[in-house]
Amino acid sequence: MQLSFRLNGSATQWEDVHPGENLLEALRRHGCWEVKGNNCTHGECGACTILLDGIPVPSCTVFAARVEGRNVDTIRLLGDPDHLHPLQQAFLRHGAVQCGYCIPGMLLSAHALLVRNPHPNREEIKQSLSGHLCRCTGYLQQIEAIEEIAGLPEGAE
Amino acid sequence: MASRTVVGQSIDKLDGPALVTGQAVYTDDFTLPGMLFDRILWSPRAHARIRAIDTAAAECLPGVRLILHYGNVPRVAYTTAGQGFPEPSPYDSFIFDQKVRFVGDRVAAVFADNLIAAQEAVGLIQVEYEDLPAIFEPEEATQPNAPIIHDEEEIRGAFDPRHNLVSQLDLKIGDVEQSLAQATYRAEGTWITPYAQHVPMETHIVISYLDEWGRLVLRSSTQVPFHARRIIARLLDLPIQKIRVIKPRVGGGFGGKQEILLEDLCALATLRTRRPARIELSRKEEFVSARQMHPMKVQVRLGADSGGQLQAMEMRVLANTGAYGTHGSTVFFNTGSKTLPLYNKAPNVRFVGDVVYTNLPVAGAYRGYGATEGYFALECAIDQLAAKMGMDPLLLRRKNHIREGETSPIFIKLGEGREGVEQTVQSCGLDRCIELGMKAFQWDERRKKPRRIGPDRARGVGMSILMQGSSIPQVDMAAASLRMAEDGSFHLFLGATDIGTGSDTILAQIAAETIGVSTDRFTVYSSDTDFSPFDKGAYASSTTYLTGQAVYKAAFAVRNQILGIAGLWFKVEPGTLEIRQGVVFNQQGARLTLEEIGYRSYYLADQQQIEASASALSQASPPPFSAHFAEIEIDLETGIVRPLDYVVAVDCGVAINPELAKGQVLGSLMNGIGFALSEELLLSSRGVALNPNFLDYKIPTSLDLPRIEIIPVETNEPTGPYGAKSVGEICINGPLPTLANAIFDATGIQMKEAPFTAERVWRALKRNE
Amino acid sequence: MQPNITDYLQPKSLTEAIALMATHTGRSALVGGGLDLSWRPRQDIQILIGLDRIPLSYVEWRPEGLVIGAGTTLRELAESKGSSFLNGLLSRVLDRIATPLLRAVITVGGVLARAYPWSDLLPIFLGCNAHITLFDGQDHTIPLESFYQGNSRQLLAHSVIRELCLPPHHESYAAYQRFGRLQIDIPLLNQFSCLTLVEEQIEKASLWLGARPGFPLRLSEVEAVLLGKPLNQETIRDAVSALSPPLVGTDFRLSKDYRHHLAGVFLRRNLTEIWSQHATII
Repeated sequence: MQLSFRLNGSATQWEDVHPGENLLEALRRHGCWEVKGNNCTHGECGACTILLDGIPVPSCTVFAARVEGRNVDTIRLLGDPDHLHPLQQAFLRHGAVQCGYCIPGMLLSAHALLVRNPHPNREEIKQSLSGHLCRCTGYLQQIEAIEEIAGLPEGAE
Repeated sequence: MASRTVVGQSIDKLDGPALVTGQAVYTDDFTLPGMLFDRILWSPRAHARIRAIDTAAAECLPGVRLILHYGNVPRVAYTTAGQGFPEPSPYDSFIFDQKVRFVGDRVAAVFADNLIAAQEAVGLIQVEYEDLPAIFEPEEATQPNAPIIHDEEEIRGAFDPRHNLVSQLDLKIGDVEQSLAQATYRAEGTWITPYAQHVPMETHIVISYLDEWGRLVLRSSTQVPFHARRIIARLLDLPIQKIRVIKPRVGGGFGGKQEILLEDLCALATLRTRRPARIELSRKEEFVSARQMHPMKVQVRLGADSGGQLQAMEMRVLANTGAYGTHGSTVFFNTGSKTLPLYNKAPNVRFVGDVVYTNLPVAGAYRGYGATEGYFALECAIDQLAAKMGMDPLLLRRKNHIREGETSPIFIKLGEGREGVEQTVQSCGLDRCIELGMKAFQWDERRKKPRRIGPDRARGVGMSILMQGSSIPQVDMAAASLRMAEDGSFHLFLGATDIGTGSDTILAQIAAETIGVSTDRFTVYSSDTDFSPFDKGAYASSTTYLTGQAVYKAAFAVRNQILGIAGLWFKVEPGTLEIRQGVVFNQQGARLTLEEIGYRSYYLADQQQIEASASALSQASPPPFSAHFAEIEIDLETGIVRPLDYVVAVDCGVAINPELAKGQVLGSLMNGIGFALSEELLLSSRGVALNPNFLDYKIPTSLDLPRIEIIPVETNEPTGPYGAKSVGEICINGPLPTLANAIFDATGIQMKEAPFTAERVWRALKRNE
Repeated sequence: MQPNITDYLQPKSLTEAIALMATHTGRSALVGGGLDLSWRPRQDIQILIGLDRIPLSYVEWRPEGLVIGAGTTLRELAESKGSSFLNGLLSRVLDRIATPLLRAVITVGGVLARAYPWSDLLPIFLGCNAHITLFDGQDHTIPLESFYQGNSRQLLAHSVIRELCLPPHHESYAAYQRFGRLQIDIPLLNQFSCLTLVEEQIEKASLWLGARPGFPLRLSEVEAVLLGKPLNQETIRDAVSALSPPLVGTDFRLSKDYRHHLAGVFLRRNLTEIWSQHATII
């Protein structure tokens, strides 16, 4: 089936979406390698998180057909290796990235939080990361990185 | 010490920009035309002989290209353990065997044009099993008339396979029995740990293909690319020359990827079909059929004199390695060798135990490598002893722990499944770890507070001290190659395997510091067996310490080459020159950039490639040290335990990159907190995993994070690069004893079985009523 | 990838959805958030009927109570004015369900249709005497309790859940307790208590035990102990001792005797909390 939607801000049309395919599979099949985590498939690890109309969701739990006419953003929304977003820089500065597999998803959740609530407290930050399993880090360095960005004056992010 | 500009700085990970932007860096972020996809048929039986296997129906399915099973693959005994050669693990595995030994063992593999066909074909394979009596309790494994799990005649390297023994040891120093009999104070107990899984976010995955020369290429999420190449070569009877193993970015390992689990099947598929092939484990398969932490029962007996001096220590281990003995003896040896030297003053020591086969999931290497189980027992026994003496457990530890300049007879008696290497501890910040940790934690103040904080609530504090090692002495080698381009940039080629730890960055820092440049000139390439020099891989807390030494040597040689060329230019002795921030200065202050030197050596005069390789073999395994402190709150009615505060002081020598070192501490700590509170692979009485998913195997999330303070305690390890030791594993060992001791402090009850689930704690409280 | 799926249909109205269900009886499934199907792919279906284009996501206060459209996600519910229901209890419960990511996918309709044995919300919905509105060509509003007592599966084969209505509970006090292994977990036992007190006497009581494991159970014997009594220590003690062990079961997650013990602790804590809420307000 055909699918039209906005992917990272660009009008996108896919001609060959399978009706039983989830969004994670469809994205990766179309070269969006930045969406990781095609081994859990239950929405429990959070690695495949994308923003669906600005809201972080695990793309493995969303049928691709559901995004018709909607906005899908992947980590490409934030930056590329030569132009990192301040949140991405903060993650690196705080040592919050080890293997990196869970990081694009965490960054998207953190970004979505900051868009809605530019100055979240620690509990709100912890809550926003709680759908993302990470085995390398222990979460504290991500929290500290987000707190640093959240402490900046509005508009600096 | 000269002032350092790169070492000791928390520079950003060099691979960081790629990782935070989701670039295609992992094994699976890659596809090839014509690639075959695999699904594996796993054994539903715990112990059975395959009478017949019928793949006819599966083969007829459109898109199915190859089905592998015991009838059509080479039969070579090997170990899946990715260790140095000859491996200290038994050769007790086959690509496929006519016998299955646990629920989740391999039976067949289907390769098809797509996953759906492969999956469907797996369901069409007919297997006739002849069930054999099975062993589900480690105690039963060594009973007379117990079924023999490994009755194959090819088995090599297991201690006594006829009695299901992978390893057995009885090491005695002095006379423990007599000393215990004479001791004023005694403590004893048996501490039990379950199966626990590594849970890397990226499961095991391999992609294989033939290169333009017809050589086999394996793109694998592995911690041990060189061991993988060697083991696959032997298994498939290929020359090493014909195999290339590429390790892209790896999504976490924690020991689970120090195993050759899928490479053999992928390689066979590609060799037979001449097509690329891919195998990825699902999360459930990772939980059941990858590797586990060894479940252990560790009995400890301690004896002390009236002054609190430890006189006798005995550790008795029963380790369950599951269906295969990978890392069986070495993990077991480490249970003693990484723990007992901590209390080196006890004159009488005994370390004894069995490692047994069962028809259960396969244990292997897991961060901590046996020390986790050992410390749970030892550090809880120390608290029991302190309680009996009425002494502050912190003081008891201070009286007895190892110090700088001291040694332990254990170092020489216990190695990696064999004898060890004598060593003296040349750097030890343990006393300062305890001192600074107790101050930051306010140990004395907190101990004075009442334990009961409500009608159904109590609080308690606990601590533990730890050591680990840095590399396996006189076993493992690491090498590095460093090359300068004409623009003064550097390529650092490493066989060391950055699996997320940041070792590429840390090793570049060591090279940059040595030469006198910054790390932004570095491109680090790890690992590719075609281009990287040999390295044993990412295990045994060895990369910073051991590969760091090789990098230091290579960088020192490159620096000398640069100075040599500059000396020709300036017409002075190279020894009179120095490199600062990428510029060579002579004594008069004249400057020569590395770019000028590069262009000269590439194109203009005295032409030569500025390049060096070096290797290092470790002579010692200097231990890092750590002191852990925690406060917990316990709901006395429900048994729910919550860690509130956690303080870790850690001596890893000089931290090359403090922020990355902190990340190692935090990650291992949270993993350890998972062990203490919830992590346990549950098995039915027939050996079937009950919770192989994230719904029921609970690993900590951000909401489980207590308040944590990390205190770096710097020492200078003279044998390490820039004074560094390891930090990757040690802290995973802390939470089990620390939280158990806090529960003990709160309730007077010693939790001897992990994890300390609410139900388990409730039962213990009820028994105590 | 669920290869057996051949079509994903997106009706624009409930009437259209019902018609599609009738056309594809026995081989179609409704997709609200879709989480359930991603968890448990079904081999028996070919047609997916997505509900995204039907305006079913709303939370409104109406005279009959708080009305929640079946397509409302738990995240939307938590961010709506409905989260203040039961003095904010609903909002606190929503914060503990699954993960923030999954709460943006799970719909109220999905919760009601699947009725997972570990639901946090069902004991609360049942305990609040919720009504469910089903559409099968026309609307039928029935008490949620009777929906589950009847053959809910059969009803759902030819009707769609439109909305849920929680009647106002102005005079009531409620409390909820759950047990999870770590902070993020399904409940392995939960207890919801809701009491209406008139002149210090318990006039109405609605007590539910969920995740036992199994469908939530109304604690009628305990309710009978409470009715007409003043809420005090003695009443609470009597209530707890009226709990009988057969109400709970064993699975690999928790044993029966621990669950029974927890049920007593949760009931006592909930009633005690209600007692203190009540005391504070008076």
